[in-house]
Amino acid sequence: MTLAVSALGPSLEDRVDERFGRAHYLLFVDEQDGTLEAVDNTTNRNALQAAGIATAELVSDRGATAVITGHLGPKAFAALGAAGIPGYDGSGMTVREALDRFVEGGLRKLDEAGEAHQG
Amino acid sequence: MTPTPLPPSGRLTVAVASGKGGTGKTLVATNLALMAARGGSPVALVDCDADAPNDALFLPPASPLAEPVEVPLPVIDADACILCGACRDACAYGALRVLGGTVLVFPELCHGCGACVSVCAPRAITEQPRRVGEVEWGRLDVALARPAGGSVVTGRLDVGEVKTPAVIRAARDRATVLRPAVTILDAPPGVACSAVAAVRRADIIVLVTEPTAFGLHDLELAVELAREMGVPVGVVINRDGMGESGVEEYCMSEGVPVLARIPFDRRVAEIYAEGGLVADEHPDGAAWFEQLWDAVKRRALEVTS
Repeated sequence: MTLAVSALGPSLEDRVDERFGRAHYLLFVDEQDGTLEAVDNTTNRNALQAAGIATAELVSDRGATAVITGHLGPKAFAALGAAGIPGYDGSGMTVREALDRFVEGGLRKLDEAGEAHQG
Repeated sequence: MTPTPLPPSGRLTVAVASGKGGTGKTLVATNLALMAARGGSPVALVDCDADAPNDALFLPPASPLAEPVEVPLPVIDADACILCGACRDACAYGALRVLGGTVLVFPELCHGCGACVSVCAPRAITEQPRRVGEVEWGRLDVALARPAGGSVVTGRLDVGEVKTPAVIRAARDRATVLRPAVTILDAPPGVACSAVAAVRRADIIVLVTEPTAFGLHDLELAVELAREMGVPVGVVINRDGMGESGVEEYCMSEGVPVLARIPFDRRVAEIYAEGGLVADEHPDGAAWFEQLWDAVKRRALEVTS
């Protein structure tokens, strides 16, 4: 499966970006072969509104099956929900730490939308 | 002095606007409406500051009526939808998305334009009304507004909604039905969508400013907006004397007439803070606003002839 992680930079050593829609980068990690693809999220980050929806679309189009981030706003939460993609809280960790914790089943699932305009 | 008549059409729509908030739009709009009614013109005062309307605090309407403001919201029939994405592609505001085998509608982003309905080949989209606010209206107090009288119309946006322009348009439509000779539009501050909705198709925009750096900066924006919309302007300098900022010089160099100056006076602030009418309660109030009303009409005659 492919995991999408919102990150402050393009590498596994960068920290998880707590914002989803306005994350700096989205890192797509293939769990099987460990390949990593970093996507610059500048366009969505600078969107006037609805960055969360656009980023959810990006994540869905690339076939991600789960998202690791900090917060999900109401629109991103609804969009990911429709796409059947669950979100997990990896705030305060590097991308590598968050991935390891996810595999161990140690990340909290985001069960409800946070406040709007946080992400 | 013989009062200046209305333009030959017998009708006049005056928008009271400003770039900056808190300059005195409501003060000017409410008192100007009274002057119009007292001068013999049936008036409608329309509070277009739908996010925070308060004209009715100064001029409470008698036995007001209200009606909801609704905007159309697309509803998708999932059985008929073929997930073609035509509605998503047609939506200029990104309010429709195709995700995970469904079409999602984001009400906050929808402007109710109906484009999605018109492009949906299988006719899977219908529109249902969604309430975003209300319009309230009623007669001005007869004794206060004699001889001509008039109405107060308030646009009020529901908490949490963002469709201010829709509420403003509904309030203005309601005022049109009342067929006043004079319409005073109390616009929201700023120069964005809601200010545009409030001043569009006015005969004249009265820009209320104050002699501060902020007042000047935002006045320049408001003059720019009015020019872009092709509506003539006149300026009221409120709190005149509180500072030196170049507002007068700006108006002079841009050929923008100053219609009136209301002095920086503690008593004005006190009367306003108590919900009073400066035209009635301040010793100089009637003169200020009578002169302003006349100057507005003169400016309107100038630009219509």
